[in-house]
Amino acid sequence: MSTKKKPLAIPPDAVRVWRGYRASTISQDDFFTRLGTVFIPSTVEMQILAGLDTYIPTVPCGMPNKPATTPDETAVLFWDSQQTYTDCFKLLACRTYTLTHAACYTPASGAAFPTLFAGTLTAEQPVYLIDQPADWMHGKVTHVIGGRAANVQPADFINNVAAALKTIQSSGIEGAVACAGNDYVVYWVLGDKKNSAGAIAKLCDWNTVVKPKNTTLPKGLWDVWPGMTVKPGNSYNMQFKRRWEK
Amino acid sequence: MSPRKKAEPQPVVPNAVRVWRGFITPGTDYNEFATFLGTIFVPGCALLQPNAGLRAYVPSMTSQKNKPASVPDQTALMWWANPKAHDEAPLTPAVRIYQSLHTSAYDMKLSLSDVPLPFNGTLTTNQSYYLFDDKADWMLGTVRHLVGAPKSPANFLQTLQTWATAYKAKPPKGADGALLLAGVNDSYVAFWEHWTGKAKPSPLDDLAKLVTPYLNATAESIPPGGDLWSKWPGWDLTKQTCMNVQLDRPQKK
Repeated sequence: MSTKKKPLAIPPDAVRVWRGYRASTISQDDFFTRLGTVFIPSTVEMQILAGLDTYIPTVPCGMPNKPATTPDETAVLFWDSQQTYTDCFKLLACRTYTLTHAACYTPASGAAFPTLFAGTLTAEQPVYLIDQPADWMHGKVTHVIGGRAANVQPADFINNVAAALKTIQSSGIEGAVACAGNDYVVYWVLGDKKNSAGAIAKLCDWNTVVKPKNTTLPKGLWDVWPGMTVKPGNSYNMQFKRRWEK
Repeated sequence: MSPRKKAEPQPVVPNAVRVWRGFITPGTDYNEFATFLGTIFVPGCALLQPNAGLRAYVPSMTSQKNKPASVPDQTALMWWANPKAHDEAPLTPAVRIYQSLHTSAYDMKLSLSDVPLPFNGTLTTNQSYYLFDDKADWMLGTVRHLVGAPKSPANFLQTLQTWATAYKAKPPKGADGALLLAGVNDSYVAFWEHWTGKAKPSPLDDLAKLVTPYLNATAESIPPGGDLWSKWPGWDLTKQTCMNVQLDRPQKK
């Protein structure tokens, strides 16, 4: 059932690309608990009314053989616009939400807006490949998280990812977002008919390719609800009614 | 914002409260501490928890001028619908979010909240006590709050016991709630008094003369400036140092 009343063209650059690394001060079990009982529910419940349009969190933490240099949690969060996200901090809901994360992630963690991919990559700078609006919440998303092979130098790894992205950019996908660090790459693709995810995964040593599961929160902020059970490798495409759909 | 509806009285029993005394982590910039509390923590408490059972909220800041470190930097009363409500509230995501507002601003070795015991003539330090046994609605009416360090620390606990015994024997007419907390090593006293209407002269005035006050105020009844999704920066707690936050409580069914 379509709930859209005034469809908004969600800009391809209005996305925060999150790479989070678990702080050693929080155990892996507690990390999963916090994700399932606080972080993921609060991201949705606290930020829909602030202009959040899509939220796709993935939790590679705890997967077998995952290098510590690849993120423990990734997410893409699309907003009505970049300005909407910036303005969000004028709202208590967003200030509060942001602070809940403080103790659980290392300083290496971070989120950024992407720039339009023009053939080259800078470490830790996200890029988007398709300069067209897209609705990721209602689309088919594939996500890759991978680590650099030990026998590949960081600069070569980043260049290899860039070369693959250049090919992917003209392959007919509906949307794509990527970010490479010296030791990892994260890649999200919408409408991946030619297995671009596989092409990125092939550039990595350890990697995982996931299809985020459409997930709706069963309860609201003030309902009695223990939260979600998050396990290693879980990936969610959170389903909710946007503020412009209400 | 639409005009606020007049709140219905929702009195609660005297041990349905958490009595908080917060001490800033040494080395923390006080302005940052006050900004964090005023823009996030205190508004978050006021907006995230009423639907989960919070019934009154009285946060306060003490003066920093010449204040000994042993006197709390912040106090708060958090009244709940019943004695179990505080512990049940984290079953809701909203309260879990509030409780996740981690801050290193508080020295958690010293900071503490507790549930008051009935005062029966004897005080133990660092344990709060209530002096009225009946229900009261602390959000309505008037709250006075004193935090001070004793001018004569010797035998101060005994002095407090004598004072509290006299207070309980002859409480001021019009008051229906009072909480007393004696700091460790005769370091401070905190006292809250609730009146159903306007405050009148009280033995609290005599207690205030025995201490160097770092807060001696009537709480300002003030509503939040918006909801969770309003453009509202929060409160400046260097100016609004003692508030009785007018919560949007669910109406009783």
